[in-house]
Amino acid sequence: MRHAGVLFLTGFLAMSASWAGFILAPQLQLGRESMEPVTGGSELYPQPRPGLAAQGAAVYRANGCNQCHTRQVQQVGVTTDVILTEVGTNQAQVLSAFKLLGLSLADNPLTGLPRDLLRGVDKKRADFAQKTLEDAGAKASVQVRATGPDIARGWGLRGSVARDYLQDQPILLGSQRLGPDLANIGVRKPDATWHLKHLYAPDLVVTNSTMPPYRFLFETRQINQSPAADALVLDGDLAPAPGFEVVPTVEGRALVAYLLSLKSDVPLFEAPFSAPPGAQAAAGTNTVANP
Amino acid sequence: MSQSPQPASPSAEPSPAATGSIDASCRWPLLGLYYGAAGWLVVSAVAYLLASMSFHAPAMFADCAYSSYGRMAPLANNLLIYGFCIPAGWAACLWMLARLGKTRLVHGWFVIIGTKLWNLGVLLGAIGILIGDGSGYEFLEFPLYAAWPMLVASLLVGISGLNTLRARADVELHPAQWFAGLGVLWFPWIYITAMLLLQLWPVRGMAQGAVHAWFLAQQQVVLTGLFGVAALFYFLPTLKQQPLPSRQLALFTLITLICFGGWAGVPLTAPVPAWMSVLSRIMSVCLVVPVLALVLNVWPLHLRVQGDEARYFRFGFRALLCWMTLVLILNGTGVWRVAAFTLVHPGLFQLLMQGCGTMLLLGAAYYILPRIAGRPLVYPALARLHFAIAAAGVFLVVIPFVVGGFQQGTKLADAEVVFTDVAAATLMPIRVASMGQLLFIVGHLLLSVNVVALIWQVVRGMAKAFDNQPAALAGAEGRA
Ligand code: HEC
Repeated sequence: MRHAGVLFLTGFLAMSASWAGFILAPQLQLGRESMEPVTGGSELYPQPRPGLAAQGAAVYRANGCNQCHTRQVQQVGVTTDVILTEVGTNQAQVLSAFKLLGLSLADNPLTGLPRDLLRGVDKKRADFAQKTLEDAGAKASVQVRATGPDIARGWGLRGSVARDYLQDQPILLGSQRLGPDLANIGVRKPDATWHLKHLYAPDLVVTNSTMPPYRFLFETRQINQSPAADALVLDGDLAPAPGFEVVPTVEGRALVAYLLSLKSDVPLFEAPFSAPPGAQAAAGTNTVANP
Repeated sequence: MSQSPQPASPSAEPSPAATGSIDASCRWPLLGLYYGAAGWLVVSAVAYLLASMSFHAPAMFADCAYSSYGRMAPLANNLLIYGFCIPAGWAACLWMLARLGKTRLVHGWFVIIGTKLWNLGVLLGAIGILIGDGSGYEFLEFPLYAAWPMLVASLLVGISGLNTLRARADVELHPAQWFAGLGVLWFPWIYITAMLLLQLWPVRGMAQGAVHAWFLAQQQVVLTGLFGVAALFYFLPTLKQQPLPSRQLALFTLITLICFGGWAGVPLTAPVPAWMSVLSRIMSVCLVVPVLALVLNVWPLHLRVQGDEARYFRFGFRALLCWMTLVLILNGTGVWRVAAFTLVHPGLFQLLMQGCGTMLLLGAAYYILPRIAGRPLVYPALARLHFAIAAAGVFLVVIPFVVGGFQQGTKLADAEVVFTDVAAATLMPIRVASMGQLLFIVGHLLLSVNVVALIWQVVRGMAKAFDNQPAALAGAEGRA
């Protein structure tokens, strides 16, 4: 390379290539994503966070909770279950279908529907079972379930996908799991009082917690007339002096509202799973009432 | 491009008299850069130690938001990158551009103003993180109000570097000039993208994640690579007094580095369309190509090379090889699943930035400082000590992080292990690493001592020269 011009041109081309690939293309693909209806429902997902929770996102960012906590559930794969929902009129045919599928009537009585027939089988087997049962006049549904250690830990029902972050700025994915994943903490721990106490003194509610306390999100103040509704109930060493109470600051309250708003538990086209019955009505928004 | 596999022109050094004047032209601009860089390096090391205190005594900073882990950890990372690595990288690049171009540093006062602005930006950024204005994008936490002065500063330095390159005496470029030339220009290009698309007019949702990943790869892989390889290509041949074996291989390293490096930043775990993480994984594996080309070129040079600075280059080069090996293992096999979200990743970051980048740049600093000052280091013994301490620090930080990270990951992958047990597994590695961080504080302080003492002597020398002008001036400038 003799000429500085050639040098900079090379540099520019190399940078432009990665720019086009990793900035332009994702922008075209992801930047245009919009709220979409939840699979099997009509609500749009994800909804913007309500005011206090949106303020809480800023508290989460300012205090670097993302240095210890991820907000992204990992899914290793999917597996399918077959659920028998109706037997139909011709029980004899259903029984022969059972035989064909290698199922015994003793383990799978035809009462108490809906009932799990097959768990953790591959899609092909599940589809075959469904077809066989339907040919016999019964009705069966094939349910999709996410798998992986995060799912097994109860951190979510499915892996996180790009759409989950549509309303976030910044996205605060986190890259360290010094603490648990919080993508669904609003589902897992829906109790604001628990969160307040946990932030004030983690080892009070979780044995052997190594999370640092966030006492600066609280203030100790004199009780005027009657204690505040969100005053922490503390005893022992942590109890405030008589006549005083520990209450969350505005930031503390906002942070908890944000935590309770963290729910990515709805099935999406790109992240399918079959919601357990009844879950769909409750979920489907990224929002939550203020604590 | 050259035609035959002829060796790169040997340490194309200008004549001694010219050298003196070139070094003198670099004196104040580069002493300024090094002064700031050395200071931030110490502050960064202190912040790392304070951050790790949360794992010795979680309640220590319960009442103090400023020193809580979530602010100290980003502060430390950002100061290491923007406080030390980038200005020290620029200083080394500018000096190489001047020396190899056989020209005085052009627009040195741009660099002087740039340094002031840069340090102002870093200071604002550090304060911003402490008061809770951090941006939330890892390794890019400085808020927008800190980014503006930094961007202007990087442009000023870039202009000086570019003009120095253009003012060169020989048309033919030395390989180190390729890397150094791109090195001084790379940062404003990538920073402006990240600033605009993440903070000023943020893109939506996960598109931010893509911009962020792109920036991190450009900064940590490509920019560190440009600085580091420039230093290896210049200093190893110079110290060994042998030419660089092959220009072709060097060119190959350059092109593959800048072509592959920028794609290597998307984590395999990221919730992005699959093509992005797959592409990124392939490119991370491909990084072995520029590294192998580099090894073929400088392996013989880095053995048995003499001089105090040589140990820094040897260490940095080997740290790069270790980093590459780990990156290969992680991206080439399924091991990444175990390493995901664990201490392995900060371990890799420390290995690359402290073990490789910082070490190479420190070697360059200790080589350049006495030359631009026109007098030997005041405490050469401290420079030797710095190496021993910093090297021990790298081992004490990286090994616990990587080993402990894999243990953490194994427990994390087993849903039967309750989470508090997983978290407990991270305490020991982090506590051991605190000792490494303590060593970094002590070691890096020694650089500051040498820089301050050197500047003090130069200033005193000037005062003396002012008293009896002609004789002393000639003496100071003549030394190389
Ligand atoms: C130094 C690392 C660290 C930081 C910083 C940190 N945490 Fe934690 N966090 C932990 C650990 C470890 C646990 C697990 C032990 C526990 O539940 O207390 C945890 C648990 C939690 C839980 C309970 C999760 C569950 O599944 O039960 C919540 C909620 C939480 N943290 C919120 C936060 C918030 C909000 C912040 C920022 C203000 C924060 N954390 C900052 C380490 C951290």
